[in-house]
Amino acid sequence: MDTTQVKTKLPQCWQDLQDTLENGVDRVILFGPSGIGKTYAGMHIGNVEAGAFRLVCTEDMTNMEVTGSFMPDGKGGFNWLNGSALKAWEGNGVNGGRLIVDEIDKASGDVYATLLAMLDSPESASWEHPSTGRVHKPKTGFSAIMTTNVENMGELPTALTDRFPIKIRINEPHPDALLRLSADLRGFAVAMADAGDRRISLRAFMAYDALRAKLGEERSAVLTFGDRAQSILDAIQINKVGK
Amino acid sequence: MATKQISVEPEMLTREDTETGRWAVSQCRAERGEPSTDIVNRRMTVPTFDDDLARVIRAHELMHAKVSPAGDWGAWVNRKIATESALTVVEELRVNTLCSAVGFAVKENLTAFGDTEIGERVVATKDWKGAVHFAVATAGTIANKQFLTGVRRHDREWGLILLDISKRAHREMKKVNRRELSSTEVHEPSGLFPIGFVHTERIAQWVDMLTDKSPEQHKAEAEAKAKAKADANAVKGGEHSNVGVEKSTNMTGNPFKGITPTEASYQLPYWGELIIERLPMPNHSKGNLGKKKVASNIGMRPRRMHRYMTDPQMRIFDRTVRGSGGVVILDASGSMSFTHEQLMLILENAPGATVAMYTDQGEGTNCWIVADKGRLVNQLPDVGSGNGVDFPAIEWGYRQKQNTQSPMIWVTDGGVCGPRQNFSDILSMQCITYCKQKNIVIVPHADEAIEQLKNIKRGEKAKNIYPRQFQYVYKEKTGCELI
Repeated sequence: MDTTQVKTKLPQCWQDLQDTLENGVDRVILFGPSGIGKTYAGMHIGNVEAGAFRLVCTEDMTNMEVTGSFMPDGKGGFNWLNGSALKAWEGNGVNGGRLIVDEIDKASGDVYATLLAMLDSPESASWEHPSTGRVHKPKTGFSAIMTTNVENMGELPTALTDRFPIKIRINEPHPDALLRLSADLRGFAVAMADAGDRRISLRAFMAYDALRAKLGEERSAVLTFGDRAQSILDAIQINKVGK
Repeated sequence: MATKQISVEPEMLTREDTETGRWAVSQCRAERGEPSTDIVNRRMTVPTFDDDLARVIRAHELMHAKVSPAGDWGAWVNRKIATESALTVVEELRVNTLCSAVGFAVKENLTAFGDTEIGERVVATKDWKGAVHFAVATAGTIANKQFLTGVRRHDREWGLILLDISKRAHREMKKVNRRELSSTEVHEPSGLFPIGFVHTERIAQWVDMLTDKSPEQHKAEAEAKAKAKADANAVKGGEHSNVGVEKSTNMTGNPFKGITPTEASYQLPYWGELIIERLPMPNHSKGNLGKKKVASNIGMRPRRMHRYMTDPQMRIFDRTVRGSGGVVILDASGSMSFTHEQLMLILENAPGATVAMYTDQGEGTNCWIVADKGRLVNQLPDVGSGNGVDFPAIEWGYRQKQNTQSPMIWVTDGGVCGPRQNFSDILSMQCITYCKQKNIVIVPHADEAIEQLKNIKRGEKAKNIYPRQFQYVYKEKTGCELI
């Protein structure tokens, strides 16, 4: 692998995602190491003209962020504010948008149950507005991408994984994201993205890249990589042997 | 004592021939034989202390992970150009040379406790091969210096020779430009990788030549040669007493100086795949394998009395004829010629022999069996292109020997080369070495093969008549005459 050239061919995982989205499958789980660009991909890859709406799951979140809630309007009354899932269903009013559900494995039980309903197949999915009584359905073109760091898909509930037939492991940063890094570091960012316990994120390489111009390689490595600075610099040195 | 632990990052290394991935790293002591790198299963064992020695050892193992053969190690060994042990030690040298080239202080720091003692031990046990291997593996590092100190304590001559070998090995590796030496590209025509390993291979072949004979064996040979010459002169007699003695570098000094590695500009030579076709053999040849009784006019007990009246030569006795077969492999490239009559004569003198001819024609069959087990073809095939498969053909031929006593002759003009390649001295040396090891007789023409088979039939020993090209290459590589 050449560390100085931008790849013209998409890495396999990204090619798989592109092929999936371009050919009519609208429910995909992206899993793999963190900091590799899964959410970014969900927000930008494929048809997102009708908008992309992100939902970050935590144990403390409520259904408010999924479907919506009444909020005080400052005049003694309440207004309904749509949650991310409902926004994605409605999209731009003509076509449905994209819902990106981050860290699905961290969602609480009731949020998880609501998400199951919202992510059901278009024929079954529906939600009734609590005040207007209007029944909402996902507009044509609605798509959903879930991201998780869980490596074993068996750990996710079957009801959820059944709704998402395609599961793609993202193990390399997207080439577009790599372009923001100096050419000599791109190969390392790719190699270390999926290095298990010794993983180094793309963001860390970007920080090192920014620092080294002013502070020099050694100082930047110490600041960015801490105790691993010497071993990382040694590995970079070894890798330069053919250059 | 250093307590801080340093990590190692093999995942950061990228190669042309192998995918990157997660590694399992474990710790070990900074002692010879403990650190290791398994590229195929991505396992590395290194010392993790924060000191200079541990750091160069980590760099050494990382360099293995970066440039050494991964899954293709077996393919390199199977080329049989150099032995596996020689390849292993020269790979150490290549890795150390590359570490040094990128700024790691292997010259100052790479050593282990007991290197001097290893030097003493190899001399005490007269382990010449082990001594050369250690000297080459550690060339360019402080370990080499300590090892040679140990050697010199017991044998000064060995010390000087090994010092010279270490220097030459190191110099030979350093001659190659860094990019080429560390290349992990795949060699398209042969599919071998990493391509930088070809330099390990060429130097390993040289190391094998160096370990072939110890300094003592060289000395004994030189003395025997000188004695034989003196005896011959004495028998002749009458020679002028003032004839100068021929200078012999083998009696004193370093007999290994004449043994040289192939040029650094060496391109990866390779053999083609041997594709054999057994041609239809409608004809029978005279004689066959094994024991057979034939009529004779000399003997003790007449067994064929009927012949007394019917045979003009009155062959009434029995004579036992033994057909031990044999194998004749013919280089049928454009520079050679071979006729059906010569084939008949070969079979006459080696009944039951297997005769095959080979030439590389670009694609398809490149080796034809024209006689086997007492049968032979009507017409020889159309041949006369490149060589391409010399070594695979002789290796195959050796496996066809009917029994251990069966002679084998290889007819070649010495212009051996791989498919669509030029003459290669490394491939030539591979063939010569193999033939010497297996007692395969080499002759340049089919007529000479017939002569040698006649000699064998008479119970005499077959003689090698080496082609000029082989003689030249052998002399250049080993400094000795090919006889």
